[in-house]
Amino acid sequence: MRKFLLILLLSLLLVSAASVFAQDNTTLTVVTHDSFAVSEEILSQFEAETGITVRILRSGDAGTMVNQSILSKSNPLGDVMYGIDNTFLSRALDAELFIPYESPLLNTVREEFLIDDAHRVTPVDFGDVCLNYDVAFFTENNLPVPQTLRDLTDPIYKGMLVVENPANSSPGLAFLLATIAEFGEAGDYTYLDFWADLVENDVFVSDDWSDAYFAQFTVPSGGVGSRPLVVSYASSPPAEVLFAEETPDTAPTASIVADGTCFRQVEFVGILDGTEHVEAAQQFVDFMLSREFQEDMPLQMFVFPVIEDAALPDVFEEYALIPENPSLLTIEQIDENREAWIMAWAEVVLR
Amino acid sequence: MLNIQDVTHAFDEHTVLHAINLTVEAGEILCLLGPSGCGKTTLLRLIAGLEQVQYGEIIFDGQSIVEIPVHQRNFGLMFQDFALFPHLNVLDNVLFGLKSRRIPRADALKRAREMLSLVGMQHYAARDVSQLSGGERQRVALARSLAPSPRLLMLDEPLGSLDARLRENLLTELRQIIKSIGLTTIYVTHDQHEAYAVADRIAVMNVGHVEQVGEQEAIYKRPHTSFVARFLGLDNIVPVENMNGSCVYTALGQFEIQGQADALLLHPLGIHIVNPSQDEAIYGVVTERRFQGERYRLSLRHQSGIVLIFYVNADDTQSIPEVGDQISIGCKPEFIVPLKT
Amino acid sequence: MGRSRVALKFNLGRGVLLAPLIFLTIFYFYPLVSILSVSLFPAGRIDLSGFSEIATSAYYHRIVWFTIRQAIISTVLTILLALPCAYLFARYRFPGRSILLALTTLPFVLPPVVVAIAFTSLIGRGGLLNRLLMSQLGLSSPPLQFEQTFAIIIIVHVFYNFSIALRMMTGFWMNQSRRIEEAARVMGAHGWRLWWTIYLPILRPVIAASGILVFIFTFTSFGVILILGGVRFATIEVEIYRQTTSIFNLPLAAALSLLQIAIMTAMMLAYTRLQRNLPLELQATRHTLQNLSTRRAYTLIILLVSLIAIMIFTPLLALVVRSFMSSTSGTFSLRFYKMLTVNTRSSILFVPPVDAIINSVKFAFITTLLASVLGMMAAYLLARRGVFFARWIDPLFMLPLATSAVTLGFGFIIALDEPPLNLRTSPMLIPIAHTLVALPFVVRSLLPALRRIPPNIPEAARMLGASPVSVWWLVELPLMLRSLVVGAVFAFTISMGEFGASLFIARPETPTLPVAIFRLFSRPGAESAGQALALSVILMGVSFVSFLVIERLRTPGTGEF
Repeated sequence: MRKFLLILLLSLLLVSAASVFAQDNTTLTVVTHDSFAVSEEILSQFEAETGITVRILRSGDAGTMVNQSILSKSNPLGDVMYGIDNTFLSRALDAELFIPYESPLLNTVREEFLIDDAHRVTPVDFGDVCLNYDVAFFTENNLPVPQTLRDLTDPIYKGMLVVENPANSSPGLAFLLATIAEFGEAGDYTYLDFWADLVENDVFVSDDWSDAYFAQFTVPSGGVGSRPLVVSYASSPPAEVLFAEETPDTAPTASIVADGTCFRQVEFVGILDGTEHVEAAQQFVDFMLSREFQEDMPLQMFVFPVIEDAALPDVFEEYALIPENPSLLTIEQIDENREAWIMAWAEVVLR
Repeated sequence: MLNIQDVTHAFDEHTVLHAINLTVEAGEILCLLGPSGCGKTTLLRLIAGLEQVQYGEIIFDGQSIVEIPVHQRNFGLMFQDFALFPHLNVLDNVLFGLKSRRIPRADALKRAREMLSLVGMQHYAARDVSQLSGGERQRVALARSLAPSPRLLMLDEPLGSLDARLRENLLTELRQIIKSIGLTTIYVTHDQHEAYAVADRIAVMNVGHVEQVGEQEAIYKRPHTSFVARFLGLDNIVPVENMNGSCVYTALGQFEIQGQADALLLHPLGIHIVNPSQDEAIYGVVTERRFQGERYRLSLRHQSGIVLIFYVNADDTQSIPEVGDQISIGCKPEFIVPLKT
Repeated sequence: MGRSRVALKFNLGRGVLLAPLIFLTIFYFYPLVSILSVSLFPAGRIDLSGFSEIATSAYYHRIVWFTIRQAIISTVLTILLALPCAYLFARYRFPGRSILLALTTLPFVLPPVVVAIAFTSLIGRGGLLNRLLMSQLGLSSPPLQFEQTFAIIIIVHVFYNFSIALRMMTGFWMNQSRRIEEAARVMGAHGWRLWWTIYLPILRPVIAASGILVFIFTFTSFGVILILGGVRFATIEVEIYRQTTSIFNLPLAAALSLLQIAIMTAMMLAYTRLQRNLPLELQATRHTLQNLSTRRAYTLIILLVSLIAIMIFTPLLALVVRSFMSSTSGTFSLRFYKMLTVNTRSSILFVPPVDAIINSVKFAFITTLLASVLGMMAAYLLARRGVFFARWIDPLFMLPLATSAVTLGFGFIIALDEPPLNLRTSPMLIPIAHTLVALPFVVRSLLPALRRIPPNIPEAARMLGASPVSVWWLVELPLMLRSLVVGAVFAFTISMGEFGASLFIARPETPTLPVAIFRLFSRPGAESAGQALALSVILMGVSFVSFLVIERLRTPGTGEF
C-alpha cells in the first residue's frame, strides 16, 4: 500500500515536472495600446514555432501606456512595449525604458523610418493622421470638402469637426502637431489663433480616438454621432468598407490628404529594461518585422507596413490615400515642446 | 491578613493618598468612611490592582501583591453602579467569574445557583439584566462577586445608587450574607450610618490620610481629630487658646484634660443643663429648639459666639428651655475630648 | 520599606495599539512626504515651479474654479432638494416612511463608477430614455444630449449626496423641540415666514454640517467626472490623475495634491467642529410625527415619494434593464453576463472580467480584516482617557479622508515602488490603499461604541478573573459587535467600490471591479460596454447587500457618520 502511494506520488511529480518542461513556458507580456490587434492564427503560429506564450496587455492609449510604463519602470508591466510612436518616443527614450536590440531584419525596413541609431526601438508600422469626412453628408448637403486646415474655421463647417485631446490621444497630438507645423508658433496667425477659431466654430474634443470616431463621427456610429468631420487615419476609409455589413460600392468616408493637413505617425516596438525574457522578446521583435505580421497589420490595425516588400491588401490599394507630403517635426522638436504645446492648447481649447 | 504599608499615590501632580498604613484582619468587615474625594475609592482600586501602586507596599497573606495582575488576585469588587454585563443574563453574569477560573461547567452552575439563592434571586436566572430593578441588580452584583469565592471582598458604595428605604432593608441583609460566609471585607461608604450598621471596624479617611481607625462606638465617642468629629456630625468644637500642663484655656473657660490638644470637643452626649451657680457652668442663650421625637435638640449660643448643640430627653422631668431662655450647661469630664486639627 | 514603583514598565498590550500609527506612518505619511519631495524638490533642489504654474496659469485657475463651482452648485441644489423632503420625513407619519428613509441611503454605498454608468444607461446618448423618446416621437437622433455636460455632473452629484443631507437633516429636525415653532404659529407666523424666521435658523447647524460634507464629497469627485465629464471638465482630483498618467508632469500633480489636501483638511476641521455639536440620531422619537390629515400633506408626500423613486431608482433600474438587453435586438439576453468569463486576446482586459469580481471580493475581504483590526486598535488608542496625545492622534486618523483617493494612489506609486519598500507588484498594495480609505469609517463607527462602555464593566470582568484578552473577547467585543459589523461592512463596501486609488495602483493582472468596469466602458463597442453594464449590476448587487446589513444593524447613534 505504502509502495503504491510512493509510486503515485513520484509519478505525479514526474507528470507535473514534465508538463513544466513540455510547456517550455516562456510567457511574454506585450504592453501595448488599446488599439492593438493581430490575427489569431499568425500569433498562434509564432507561439507554436517558438514555444513562447504571448499575453497582450492593453493599457490605454499610447500616451497613457508610456507614462504608466515610466511610473512602473522599476517593476515593468511586461517584456516588450509595442505602439509607442514618434510623438511620445523621446519621453520613453529619456526615461531609458528600453534595452537596445538590432534586429537582423532591419535591412528590410525602409530607410526613412530608421530614426534611432542606438536601436533602442524598432519601427513596425506607420500611419497618417488625416481629416476624414462623411462622403454622403457632404454630397447631400452640397458642401465643398475642406482642402486646408484653415478651411475648418469657415462657419459653414460650424459644429462639424471632432478632434481628440492631444494630452491623452496620439492622433490628437498628431493633429495638434500638424497644425503647429502648418501655422507655426509665431506670426500673425499662430496655431493657437487657429485653435481659438476652431473653438469659435464649435469643435468637439473627445478624450480619445475611439470616442471621437465611434461615438461622435456620423458614419460608423449608426446615427448616434452628429459630426461629419473627424481627425482619424488615412487608413480609416478602407476600414469602413471592410467592416460594412454589405460591401458598398464606394467608401462611405474619405480622408483629406492635401499638403499640410496630415501628420505621419511611426509606431515602434522596444524591449523593456528589466525583462527576464530578453531572447523571447527579441524573437517577438523579429516576428513583428516578418512579412506575415507586416502584411497582417493593415487589416488588423489599419496601419501601413514599414518593410519594403510587404504587399498591401486590396481595400487599401483601392480606398486608402497616402499623403505625399505629411507634416514633419523631428522627435527632438516634439520632445522639447510637447508639454508646452499641449498646455497652451488646453488653455485655449478646454474651457 | 491585608497590610497596606506606606502607600502613596498621585494622579499627575496631585497626591491623593499620603503614606497610608492600614490593616484588615481575616474575617472582619472594615469600613472606609469618608467624604467623596478623600481617596477611599483610589485605595480600593489599588488593593484591587485596577491602579498600579506607585509607592509603598500591599501585603496579602504575607505576600506582596503589587506585582500580581488584577485577574490573578482572586479578589471580589462590587461597583457602586454594579457594572453588570449588559449582554449577559443574570445567570451568565454570575457564571462569568467561575468560568474565568476554569471551574467545570456543572460545578460552576451549581455554585452560581447557590449564590443566586443566597441573595434571593434564584428565580431570576434567565432574566436580562436590563429588566432588573436597582435592588435586584445589587443582589445579582453581590452574587457575582461572591461566586468565585474571593479571598477578599470589596464593596464600593454598594448602596449608593439605591433609594433610602431600600438601603435600610439591604444593609442588614448585606452584613448577614457576608458574615454567613465569613469573608474578609472592605466596605467603602460616605454614610456613617451605613458604616455603623455594616462594619466591625471603621477607618475614617480625609484628603488622602487615614485619620482614625477603630470600632464604631470608640470613634463616635472619642474622635481624634476635628475632621472626624465634624464628619460624624459633632460640631461642638472649641479652639484651644492656651495650655498650661493639663489645664487648657478656651473661650468657654478652662478645662482639665489628658495630653495635648488643638481643640476640644464638648460631646453632646456629655452635656446637660446645670444649676447656674455650679463652678464650671457655661452660660448662654437658647437659639434653637428642635423636636426630634424621643428628644429635643437644643442650640446654645455662648457670648463668645460659639454655639453648642446638646440633647434633652423628651420625657425629662424638668421643663425644656424655650428659645431665648438664658441657661447654663455643663459637660462631664469624660466627654471633653481633646482634638488634633 | 517603601519603594518607588513609578518607573514605567513597557506594556506589550499598549505597544500593540501603536500598530495603526505605524501603518499610517508607512502607508500614508511616507507617500505624502514623497509627494512633497517630488513637488518641492524635484531635482534635489527646492523648486516651486509646480505651485507658481498653478498660481499663474489660467488653465489651472479654471480647474480650481470649476472644482469649487460645481461643488458649490451641487451642494446648494442638494440642500435645497433635501430640505423640503426632510421636512416631510421629520413631520409626518405615512406608510412606507421608514423603508423609504432607509432606501435613500442606498446611493451612498454605490460606487461612483456604477452610478455614472447607471445614469448613462438612463439619459446617455444610447440610454433608455433617448431610445424611448426616439421610438415614440420618431426622431432620428437622440433628443437628450446630457453626455459631457455640466448638467449631468450636477445631477449625479445631487443623486449621490441627497441621501446624506436628507438623513442628517431629518435626524436633527426630529430632535428639535417643536415649542418654538408652535409659539411662532400662535403669534401668526405661517408659510414662508415660518421657514425664514423659524425653520432655517433652527436648522442652521445641520445645514452647515451637511453642506460641508456634501462639499467635501463633490469637491473631490473623481469617477463621476472622469466618466461623465469627458475632457472638458476636470476637478483638481481628475487633473491630478491626468497630470500623472497623460501629461506626466509629476511636480504639478504633486502641487495640485497638496493644494487639495490643504483645502480638504480645512473643510474636515470645520466639519468635525460642527459635527461635535450635532446630536445625530437617525431614528425618530415616534410621538412627534403627525398623521397625514390635509389634502396638501397627501399631495406633498406623493410628490416626495415619486421624486425619490425617480431620482434613485430609475437610473439603477435602467442599468439593470440595459445589462439584460441585447444591443442589437433590444430583447432579453444574458449574453453580457455569459461573456464575463471569457478572456480573449483582443479583450481590453488582461484577464477575464470575472477575475475582476474575484479580485475585488478578495481585496475587500483583506481590507475588511485589516481595517477592522487596525480600526479596533485605533479606537482603543483614541478612547484611552489620559493618553495625552489622544486629541492629537484623533484627527490624524481622519486625514486619509481629507486626502483624496487619487492622491493616495499617486503617493503609493511614487513612494512604494523602490527600496526600502518595493510593493509595486505586491497584490497587498490595493487592500492597503483601501484600508487607508476605510479606516476613518471603521474608527468613527467603533469609537462611540467603545466610549459608551462604562470603564467599570471591563474592570468588573478583570476582578472576576478574566485576563486582558478574555476581557476583550468576552465583554468588550460583544458590546461593540454591532458597531464593528457596521464598520466592517463599510470597509467592505468602500473596498468594493473604490476607484481613484485603484485606477492608479491596480496592476493589469489584478484589476478590481470598478477599474475593469471603467476600462470596459471607455472602450467603444457594444460588447465591452455590455460587459461593463453586467459588471456594474453585479457590483451594485454586492453594494446593495452590504447596505441591507448596515441598515439592519445600525442603531440610533452608533456611528459618528
